[in-house]
Amino acid sequence: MKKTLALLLACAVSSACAAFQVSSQGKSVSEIIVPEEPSEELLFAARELQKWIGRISGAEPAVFHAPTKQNNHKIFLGKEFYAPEDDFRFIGESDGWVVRRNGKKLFLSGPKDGGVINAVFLLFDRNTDLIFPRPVMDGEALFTPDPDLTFRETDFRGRPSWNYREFGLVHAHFDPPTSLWARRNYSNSRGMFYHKYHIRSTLDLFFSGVLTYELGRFLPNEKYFAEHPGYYAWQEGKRKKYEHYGPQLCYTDREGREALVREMLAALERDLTPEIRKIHFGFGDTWSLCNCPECRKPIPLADGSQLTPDDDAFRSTQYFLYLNAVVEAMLKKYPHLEAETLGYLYAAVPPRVKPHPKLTVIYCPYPKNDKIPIDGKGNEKWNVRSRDWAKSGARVGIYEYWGDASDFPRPVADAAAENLRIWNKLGIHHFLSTETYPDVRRTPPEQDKLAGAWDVSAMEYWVLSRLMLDSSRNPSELRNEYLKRVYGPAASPMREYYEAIHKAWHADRRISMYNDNAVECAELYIRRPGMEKTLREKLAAAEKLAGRDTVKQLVRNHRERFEFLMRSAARSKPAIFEIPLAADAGKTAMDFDAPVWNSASRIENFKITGTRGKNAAVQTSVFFLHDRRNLYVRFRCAEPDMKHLDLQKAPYPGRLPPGDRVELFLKTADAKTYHHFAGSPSGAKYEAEGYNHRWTVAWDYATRRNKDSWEAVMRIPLDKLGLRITVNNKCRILPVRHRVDGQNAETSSHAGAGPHMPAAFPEMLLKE
Amino acid sequence: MKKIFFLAFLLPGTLLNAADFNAEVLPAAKYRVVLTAPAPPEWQIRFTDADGNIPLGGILNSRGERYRGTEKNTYVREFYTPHFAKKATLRTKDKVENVRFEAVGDSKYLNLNPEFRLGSDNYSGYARTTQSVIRKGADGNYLEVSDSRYGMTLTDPVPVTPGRTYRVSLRREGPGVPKKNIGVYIRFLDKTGNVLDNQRNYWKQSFTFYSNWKNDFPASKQFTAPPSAAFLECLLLDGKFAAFYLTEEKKRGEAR
Ligand SMILES: [Zn+2]
Repeated sequence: MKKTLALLLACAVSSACAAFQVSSQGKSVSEIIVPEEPSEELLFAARELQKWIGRISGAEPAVFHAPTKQNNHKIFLGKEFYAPEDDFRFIGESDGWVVRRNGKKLFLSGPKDGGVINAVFLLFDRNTDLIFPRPVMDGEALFTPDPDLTFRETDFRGRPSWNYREFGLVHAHFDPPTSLWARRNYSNSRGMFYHKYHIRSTLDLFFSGVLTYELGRFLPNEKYFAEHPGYYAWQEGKRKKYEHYGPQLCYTDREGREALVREMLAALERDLTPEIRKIHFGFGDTWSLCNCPECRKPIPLADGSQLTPDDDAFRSTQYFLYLNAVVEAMLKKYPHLEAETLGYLYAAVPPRVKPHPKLTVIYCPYPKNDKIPIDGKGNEKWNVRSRDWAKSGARVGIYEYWGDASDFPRPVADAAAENLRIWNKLGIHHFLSTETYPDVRRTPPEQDKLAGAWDVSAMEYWVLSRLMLDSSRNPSELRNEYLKRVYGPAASPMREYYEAIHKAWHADRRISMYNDNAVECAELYIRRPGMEKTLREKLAAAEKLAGRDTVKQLVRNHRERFEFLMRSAARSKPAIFEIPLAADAGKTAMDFDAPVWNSASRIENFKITGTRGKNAAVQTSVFFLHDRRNLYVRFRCAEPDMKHLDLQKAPYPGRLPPGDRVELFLKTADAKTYHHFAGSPSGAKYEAEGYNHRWTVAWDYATRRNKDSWEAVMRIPLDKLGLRITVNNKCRILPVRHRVDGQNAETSSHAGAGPHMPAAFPEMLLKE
Repeated sequence: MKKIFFLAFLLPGTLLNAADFNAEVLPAAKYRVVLTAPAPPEWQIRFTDADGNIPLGGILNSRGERYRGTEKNTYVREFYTPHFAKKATLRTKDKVENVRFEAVGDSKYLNLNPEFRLGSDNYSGYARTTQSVIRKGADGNYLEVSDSRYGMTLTDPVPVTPGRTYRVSLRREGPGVPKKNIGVYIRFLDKTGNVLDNQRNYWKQSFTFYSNWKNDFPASKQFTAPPSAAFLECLLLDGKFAAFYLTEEKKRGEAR
């Protein structure tokens, strides 16, 4: 009697009685209730709630379609049981959640059933130490067993910072374990699929369904081109058939648009299922647009002004006018659908017309430096465009690349968090996707970068999952949370390990991008700062301290990947050739004797091309400098027979000099093609884009003749070739010499790489 | 006049004016409900366990349009009772008559409605279809699963026993050589309906009926239920199915 009274008193004065017990001494004291016709989302929520309560407490609560008469704790899932007006208004159109307790009843609800999935995992997040460290792991999760599992935080609501959150898989588009991990970590969208089975795989049922079409494919050439050439692009005096990488549709031909709408509606009639909520309209990967008179006409704008074809936003505006009409026609028949397109190529420029309100434009701010946010030095362009998109009135989505190059533990979440907040502040919060490596193990280790990424970067993925849900969170606090939950007693050495890499990565001012090479990163951020030994010891200590076998295995996987990276870095001599910065080179570098050339980096020993390393007959030295805007390349060509140079024909203007010459091939990271520069001893110049000699750019070239050599210096305007040193300071560059000696001609180059083979041009780094 | 609900159990013609009707049933067994109605009704069958509760999976919702019988104004749906089922309750808000609720007799086929004999507008056994239709053919009905992007049909889950072996076979409808092979993907589910294994190698769990095979070619494939398997369901893709069969392989010594 006394005891009861004491308990009652304790209840009155503390929050203990607010606790919601789900199991007692390993026996269930709760049940889960779902509606009579639960959606796939609610089914998943119920099964996961049941499963993880069961795993933590040792007793699975049963799931019912109606509450039983038992006097136990009841957890109700879904808006059928609880739909508080105020909370639902707050949540709006998102998959937000509300969790409320009323005595022995606990309600997990949201206007969208996906919100209940979020509520389930938030309930665990706030009341237990349950964590899903990576997609493929023995037992799937880590937690501290608790036979008296009790939820104490049972009164909260929230809405996500981003309505749609997606870990978009790259390299393998279908990987159920990674998608399941993503859903358990609050992602609600699943990217695009390429095989029919994937669509109906059980996982797809609780992700929002997207159907993807390419606009041009709605009007098959076979069906329409002969009779309706006007639907297609007018270029160089004629209409051209549609190609993904070639001519697009005419965006101003009304009849063509109407035909496309008819085909689009027929396709939807055929393909649509109730799960599909969104239609993605893609376009060809090309700038090859229609040049018919109508498509070159200024576009009248709402404010009475005219948008002229030379305006940056002209093509984008034309495209969105076209797409808006297509979307409107779709919504007339299917008002429940949403539409989506990419803000990419010409459509990356915010248009001067408001995109359709049901249209999401997915803007891809890349490539950029992942070490700093978009308002950081060098990334400014992406910030400006973000602002412009926000102002455009479009519903904007963001396509990110954080998961790329995660086979080295790049701490990308710091800049990511800042970017997310910048975008949120601009009013961008509809959709966020990041490229992600699926947790798929491959052998040998050289090919294991996917699971290899999860070996070392699982923490960063987890942190990103939290940031997408709530962009106000602090990445370092999240990292600490992950380390504590996953590694337990081994958290300290793991934290020290990650912090050391974090520090080295940020201390180095080199930019880091989606295409970073993990081995190169290991060299730059671990070996060169002299951290290899210390980090190895940290991981060894962590394995020793780790309690559970699963955790030991996680650390072992990490160690194996670490050793692979160290081994590979030690083996691969830093292949990258560095070109020093001489900020004032512009003043003197065209002068052969200027002292600035003393600081240049140099290449010798040209090899005959196509011979696997046979030395050239005569010596060539090449010197490199840059001043951020220009690349300076100086050739010194030894020549035992200077006189033969005088016998050579003068080159035909605009054509490659047929006799002796020096050449430079150059390909910037994102360019689809490469550029070719050449000059003769007599001073004749040649430039081309690939083999296209009609292409031209202003560049400088000077030569001089010595007793037994001739020299040339080139000034190549990098900015005009599309190289933004602030964005990517790597570039593929190949110097070549062609020498004609009587009947014999010899082409030699750096390392013997062949001309016109851009993949073989050696990568060089323009040093800051 | 006040709306009256007419229900019966096993006794055609018996009229009952109650919204619900309860009857004892066997668990994991094949049953059918048959009724007539002037307009396509919606109805529920609610399965309760020994304690009178309705565990997850204990409600079967039916829209009459999908379960027309061969005779006018009749509706029929075959189904498996859940493993916990002790009682079944039929509930509807619509006007129905001549309700019959009966066990389906022995059949060598484990799956429901293998030859689509219940009617060309009857999706018993194939509740989850997208871009698939049952049509009248020259020799009975057949299921046509469109080869469009989302065309597919999932069979209702069939109870299985771990360690036992099951055989999938089918007959294709129509002569000639179709454009695509028929694909059947097999999934084993646990008691709560979760797919077992991670589906990464889904393509290994499949049976292909090649388009150049004759429509009556006796092709089939066996699958053994893994530990903790409780159900088997099949995803049917790309083609016309005159029949789809699921049988259990008898162990040596067992009667056929
Ligand atoms: Zn045009």
